[in-house]
Amino acid sequence: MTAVLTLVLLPFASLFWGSVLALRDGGAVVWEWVRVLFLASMFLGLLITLPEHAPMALSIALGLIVVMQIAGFFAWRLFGAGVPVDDQ
Amino acid sequence: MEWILPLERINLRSVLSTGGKAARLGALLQAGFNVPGGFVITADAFQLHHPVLLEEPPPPPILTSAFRTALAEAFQGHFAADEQVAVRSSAIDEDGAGMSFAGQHATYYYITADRLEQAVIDCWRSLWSPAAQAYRQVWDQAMHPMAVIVQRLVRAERSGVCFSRDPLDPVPGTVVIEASWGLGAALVDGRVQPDRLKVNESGAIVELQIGDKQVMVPASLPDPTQSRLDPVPEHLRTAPVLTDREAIALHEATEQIEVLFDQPVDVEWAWDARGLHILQARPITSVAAPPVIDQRLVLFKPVAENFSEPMTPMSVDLFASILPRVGRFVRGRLYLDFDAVKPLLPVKASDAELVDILLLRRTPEKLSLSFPRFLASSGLGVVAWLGFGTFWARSARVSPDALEQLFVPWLKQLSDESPLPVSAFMRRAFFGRSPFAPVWQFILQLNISAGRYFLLLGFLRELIARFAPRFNLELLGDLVHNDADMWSKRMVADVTSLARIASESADSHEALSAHQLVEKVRMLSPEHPFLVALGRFLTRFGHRGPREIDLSTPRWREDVTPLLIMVRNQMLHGTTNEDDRYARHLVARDQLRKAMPSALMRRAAALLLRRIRYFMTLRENTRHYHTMVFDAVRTRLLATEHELRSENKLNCAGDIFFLRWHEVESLRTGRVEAREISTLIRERRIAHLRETRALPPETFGIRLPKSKTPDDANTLAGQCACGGDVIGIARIVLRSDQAHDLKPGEIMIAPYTDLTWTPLFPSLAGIVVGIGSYLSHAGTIAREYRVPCLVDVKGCIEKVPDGQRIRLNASEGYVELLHDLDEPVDETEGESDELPPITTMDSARKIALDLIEAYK
Repeated sequence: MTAVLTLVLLPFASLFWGSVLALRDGGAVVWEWVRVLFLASMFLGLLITLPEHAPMALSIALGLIVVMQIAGFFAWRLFGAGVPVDDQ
Repeated sequence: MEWILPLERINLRSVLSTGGKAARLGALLQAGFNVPGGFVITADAFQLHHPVLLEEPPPPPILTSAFRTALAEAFQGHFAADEQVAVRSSAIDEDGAGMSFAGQHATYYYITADRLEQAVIDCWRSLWSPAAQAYRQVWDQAMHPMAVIVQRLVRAERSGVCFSRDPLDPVPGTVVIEASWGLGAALVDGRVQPDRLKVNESGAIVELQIGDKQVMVPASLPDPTQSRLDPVPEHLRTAPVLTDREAIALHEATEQIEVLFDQPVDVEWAWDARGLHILQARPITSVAAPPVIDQRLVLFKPVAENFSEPMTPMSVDLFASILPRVGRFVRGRLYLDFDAVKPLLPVKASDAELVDILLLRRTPEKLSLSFPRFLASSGLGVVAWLGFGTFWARSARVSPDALEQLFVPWLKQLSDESPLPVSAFMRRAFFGRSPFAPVWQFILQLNISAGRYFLLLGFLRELIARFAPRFNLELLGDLVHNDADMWSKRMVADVTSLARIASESADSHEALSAHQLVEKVRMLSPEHPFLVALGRFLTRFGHRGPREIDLSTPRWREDVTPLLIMVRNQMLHGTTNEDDRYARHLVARDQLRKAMPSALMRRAAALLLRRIRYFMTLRENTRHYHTMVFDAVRTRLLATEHELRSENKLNCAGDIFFLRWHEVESLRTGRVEAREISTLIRERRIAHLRETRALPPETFGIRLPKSKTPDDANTLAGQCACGGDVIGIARIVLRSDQAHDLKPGEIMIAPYTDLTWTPLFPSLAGIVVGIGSYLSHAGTIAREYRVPCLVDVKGCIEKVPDGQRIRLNASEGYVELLHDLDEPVDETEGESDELPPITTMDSARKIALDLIEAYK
């Protein structure tokens, strides 16, 4: 159950974390607040209704998203970018 | 043993003592060609001073007094005491039938009697130059002595090179002529883009490309320490160097020289007040070999269709460091790795079909889904989403104003304060400092992420096709008409406004209509409204310019000429009217409202439209910020170049763009010598010029079925980007700032277009582009202005003569060359006869006004 919930929560966790950062970045602030608050209330609802599985699933989903964001940043810089150049 | 021989006494049999170049000059002189007089210092003189020939460079020789006397006497016998001469190498193995050694040995101009001895020694020593040594090594050649030619320096007004066969397309009888202003050194060194003409067997000019000749080597150099490269006066930059008669005379001379030597030749020539001079003739030994590629590659069309020229080595080097590793740069152009991309396309298709998709000629919709590839690409998509999915949310609502207010000061601060070297600066500007850095620091990823509007456009198309089948999908472009937040639209609006201000005052109108418009505009008073508006424009858009993707291209702030020409084009021919486009947008919106009965679906369509517009604006605006980064990088590179030139490590402006960044660092720290680098720059400049002339191969290593060619030799095929069928005069325009001869109602033939071409579009009857796709700049803007447009027409520049009457049937995808005898002049010439449902500006405006009235 926890694993399934984690998989379901992954896109929402990504959206939530992205919206938090967007709020900090200073985009369309009102809209980002709406998104953050909506997702936060959804997570809270889950924590209340599924207290056995939701805390772990939510932590893993959010943690994975943040870790993958860091990994993606460095993977892009270190391995993703760099087109070979033909010398001929 | 003769140390010195007059040129008149030399012929082809003298080759062992005078070298191939001198022997040919002697033969030309004896055959009656006008060769500048002079003498040759023979190989015997060389051997006198170099008794042993070793691969290692010896110390500079001390000239014997007998030789010095002979040299001084020869000079006095041939030239006036204060005359300047040219001193050129003529190695015994040079310019033979197999080896040309072109440019590997030294040539010196403006040499006076007192500098002659040193010039001769320097010529001899060029036998050991790194370039000559490398050349001998590559071609497995032994070392031979060197003769030296001392010749009268022709005060050339124009000069160039003729090839008796085109090295790229060797048709007997067809001569290729390259011509530029001043002495030929700038052309031979690849520093100038020359005019290029092809004259066929019967003496007709079958191809003419006018180069943008920015620099020239003057006929005389009073101060030998000053730079020998002068800027070409503005009115001559894009003026043809040769008249038709002169081109034909050169064709005849080249043909005669080929007959004389009984083999294809390239001939260096110069024209002064006394007529045509032949400076050199040598066998054509080689053509540029196609690159050997061990990968399957497909041209990356989104870059190529907006900039079909090769990038300079510095641009390639810096861009390569930030672009995703799914391709390869080949000779300055970006290619996709076909085998890396293929598994990501989840469709069942042959290689040829996949190539068509990657070249944006075909959409994958009509192909069936490949389940294994779908699984593979979905898996990769999930991994990519985990890594970059947060960015998807972060980029969903970045306000254009916030982006401007945050990115611009950040970049300025980075430029002013960052001690980073250029390559690291570029990466920092594009990649951000940390994964949690603010979103505007990821300007490249923002651009990539905004590409999702293609997907949303697909959804909208499906929605309309399903719920509003009566709606004409050709109006989709009008429907997604964008708002004023797009920088490129603001820029075009500002150019229009500049043109309006210029036309309101007689003196600015006159200045812009003049030939030497920059000088004339400079003469306006500083408070003139046009100059005030121009200053404001340059503050906002000075970092942009034509061919801005390449770092070597001057921006508008540095060279305002292309911008002024754009304003002039807009002033003389422009008919841009945002109101008309907005009117068409209203009409399209109304048609969709009528065609879509479901209110829910209408709301869904409106939501999709808003999102599409947002992402289109974001994508376009991030390009604007990319060019800001390019500008900051260019400024840093120019500062580095200035520093290196002041230390005499680089010779000429622009040299730094023909190096890679690590080579610049080696030059700075003294790990390589300026001399080696100068040879490298010269070779790269020549290679770059050669590549500029050719369209890039679309694929490497992929076997494709032969493309169908039109049955008629007078017909060229292409892809329709905006339908219509028109007849008109073809006008070849190679660059947007060279559209002097383009008149309203003509059909423009161009290699590619970018935003600086936009003001030309509204007044044209049609557009034909050598490279491009439906989504390219040419296609998009042509649809905006409803101008028939055919893209991806291979060979259009070469095969359509300038001024030829042609029929452009964009709807059916062909251009036909018309001959006046066959084709009566059409009354409707220059006007489209196939029009979309809402055809003219007037009718659109009228319907829109009616609608506004109705809404009131």
